[in-house]
Amino acid sequence: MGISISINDVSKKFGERTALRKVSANAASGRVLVVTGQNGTGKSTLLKVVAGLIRPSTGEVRYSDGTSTRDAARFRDRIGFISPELALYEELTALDNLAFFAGLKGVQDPVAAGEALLKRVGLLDRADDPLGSFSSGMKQRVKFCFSLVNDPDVWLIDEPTANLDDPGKELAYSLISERRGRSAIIIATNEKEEVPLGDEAVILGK
Amino acid sequence: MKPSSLASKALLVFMKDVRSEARTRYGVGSIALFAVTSLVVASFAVSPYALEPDAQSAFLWVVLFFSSMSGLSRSFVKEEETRTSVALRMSAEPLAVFFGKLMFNLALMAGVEIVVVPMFLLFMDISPATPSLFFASVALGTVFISAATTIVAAIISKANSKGALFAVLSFPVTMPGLIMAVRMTNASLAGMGFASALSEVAGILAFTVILTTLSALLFEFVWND
Repeated sequence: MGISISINDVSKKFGERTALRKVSANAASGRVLVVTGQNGTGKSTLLKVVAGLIRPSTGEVRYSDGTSTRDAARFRDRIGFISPELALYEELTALDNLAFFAGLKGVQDPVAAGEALLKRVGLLDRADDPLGSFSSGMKQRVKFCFSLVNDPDVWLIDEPTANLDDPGKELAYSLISERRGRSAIIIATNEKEEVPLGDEAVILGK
Repeated sequence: MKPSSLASKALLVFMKDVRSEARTRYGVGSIALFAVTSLVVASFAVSPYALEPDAQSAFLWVVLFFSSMSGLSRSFVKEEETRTSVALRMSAEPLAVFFGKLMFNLALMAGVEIVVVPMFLLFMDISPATPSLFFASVALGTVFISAATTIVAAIISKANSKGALFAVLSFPVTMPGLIMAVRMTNASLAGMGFASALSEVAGILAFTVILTTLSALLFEFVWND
């Protein structure tokens, strides 16, 4: 069964600086919520709060099964997360990276899952090359694989087309449309042309 | 999906670190470089003299302690510096990360000691009077240092001046166990039996268990904040 996310009055302060101010939104299972706004309005911070990577100063994020981001251990395996602030192991091969994370997330056959995803993003022929030898666009494709390796119920995408060329952007959009209907998806983006990807949009202001 | 146990996830983290280390050789390189150069320099400096067992045992542990300071923090520091810690946080429970890193630090130290300890015995012209006690002291001391420094490495990985902070924070934590390891090694070199070092053996074991338990309990807060 899918999961819906309820973001309730979430604020985040780093010292005296307010990064996120009382944001409320819902991301229903199978639907896409786009979070947009200027630089520094807290889009990435909001996604990290939803992912359980940082704790909100006030407010909370709840999932439809009753868990909240405070119970990080219970929902970690159900989230896929991709962000410019996340990196994979450059010294390991693309397949080693994906098999490692798939194993940690309890995927039945981690190597097969990694290979299937690399094939989907057109990088199966580079599966055994170290990630450090990849271009930034290719690394972004592998990060998409990382975020999908556990077949997530909740997919959080920060700047989906960062570093991607036009074919890469098309691939990113097609991956999003494939998962529409299966996961609750939240996309944080600066790109105006990506706002229509969402069924709903939240605009963050300073 | 299959339910993966904590042990199998910790093993995955350990194997990942071994694979990374095999490709970069950063940790083993810095530890071995310090250990070998300090051993060679000191052995040349003291070669005309025959050191007493207490000085020999202190010298061995000075080399092993500072060697570990030069490399054991890398497994956590590298995760933060290369921003791979976010992916790791999203994928594994903190305890699996902690025990995986602990196993890796232990394996790293053991790997270096396989080379360094025989070199120490050779260069210093030492033949331990009680070999079993000598190797037990090295093994227990190594386990203790690895257990003590793993949590310190996790703490300092988020700080700015990581290198200096690691040694400064590790020193008081490792001090009690180090003193006991030195005493055990001293007893082995002086020809005393296991019976004479029982309190040190029990002390190191107790410190190791206490430190590992406390570290495991506290690690989630260190790792997630």
